[in-house]
Amino acid sequence: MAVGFLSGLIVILKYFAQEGIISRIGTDLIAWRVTVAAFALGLGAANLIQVHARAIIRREKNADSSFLLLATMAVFTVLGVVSGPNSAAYKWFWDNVYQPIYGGIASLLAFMIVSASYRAFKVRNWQSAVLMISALIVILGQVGLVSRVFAGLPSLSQWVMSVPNTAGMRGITIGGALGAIALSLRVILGFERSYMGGGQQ
Amino acid sequence: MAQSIGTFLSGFFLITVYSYLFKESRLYRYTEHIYVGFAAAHAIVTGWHNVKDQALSPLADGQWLMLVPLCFGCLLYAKFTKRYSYLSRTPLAFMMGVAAGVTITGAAEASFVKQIRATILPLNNLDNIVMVLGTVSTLAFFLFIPLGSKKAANGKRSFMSLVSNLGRATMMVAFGSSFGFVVMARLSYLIARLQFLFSKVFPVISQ
Repeated sequence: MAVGFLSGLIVILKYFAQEGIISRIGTDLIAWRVTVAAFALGLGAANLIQVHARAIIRREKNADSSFLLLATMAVFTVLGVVSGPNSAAYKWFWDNVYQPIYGGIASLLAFMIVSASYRAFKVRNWQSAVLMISALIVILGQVGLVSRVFAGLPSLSQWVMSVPNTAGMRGITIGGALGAIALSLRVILGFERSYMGGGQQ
Repeated sequence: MAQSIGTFLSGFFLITVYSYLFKESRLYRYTEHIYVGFAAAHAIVTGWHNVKDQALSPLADGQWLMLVPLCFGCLLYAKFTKRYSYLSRTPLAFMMGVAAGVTITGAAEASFVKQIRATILPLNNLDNIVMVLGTVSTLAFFLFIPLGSKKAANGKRSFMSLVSNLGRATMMVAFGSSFGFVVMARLSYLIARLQFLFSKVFPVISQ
């Protein structure tokens, strides 16, 4: 708890002290955090290995997929560590394996969104009507054929995006910032300790 | 040659991903696991290079203080042992403390002061009026929910209730337009992928 309090306090003080020892220590602490967070990534990977290795040993239903995952992970980890993530070989696999799958899954979401909204969007009250109308204005405003028929729609769509959307998002951002500051203060002061596990507050 | 193999591989993975639209096949599951494996490997590689560049190289240059984050990082793995798992709490508290400090200073500057400053506008046109009223009423909805749901003593709706409703309407417009924007972004992504499939992959296969 003392470690969390001290490190948080120094980073906050660094914001007010532009130079001097506090500023230097604060900058170092932020840089150290990147290193510790890198180790935490390894922790996540270790957990992934644990789960899938267990599936392979127990010959569970999708053990073949688990084996493929671990093999892919091992091959690309070795390739990335030995030759570096900017090497030609790593980049080739990145461009021809990772990116197409990511692009495919991301574009697959178009179907999911359409299917989910078809099932979920029912205009039950005025709030859902407002939501539906603004969504339709933004969607149709970007469709060339509709814009041909209703000439004012693209500019209305742009206005909705830049004025009421910004106003709503700004309110949410300010509210979220207040919440983040309150939670961070609780963490620094030691009132919030659930991240340590065990469920204690 | 390598380019053709790459294009073929890209097309193959793209088609296996789209096969999910028909049925969750074994091929789709394999592709999904390859993706997760690659993403995990990339995280490890990025983490390793971060540790190498920011801690190991300075340590080799004589900056002994870099032993502290390295020890903290190693202590994280104590979580896997029952006896010494409590040791992982120190680096965890350190990370949370620094993250909280960065969040407080960052959120106060970017998400609080700058946003409020951007909302202080002259009320001389419709855009500015909508912007100021929308932002203030959205905040009022968040901060004064109990007041917004109360009715005045004479049974009529209170002023805060009206403001709260205006905030709700502004948020609905924001959510709706964001949703529309996401739908269009995903559709253009899909069109780009299909264009790639038809203009690059199929000609390679038909050769």
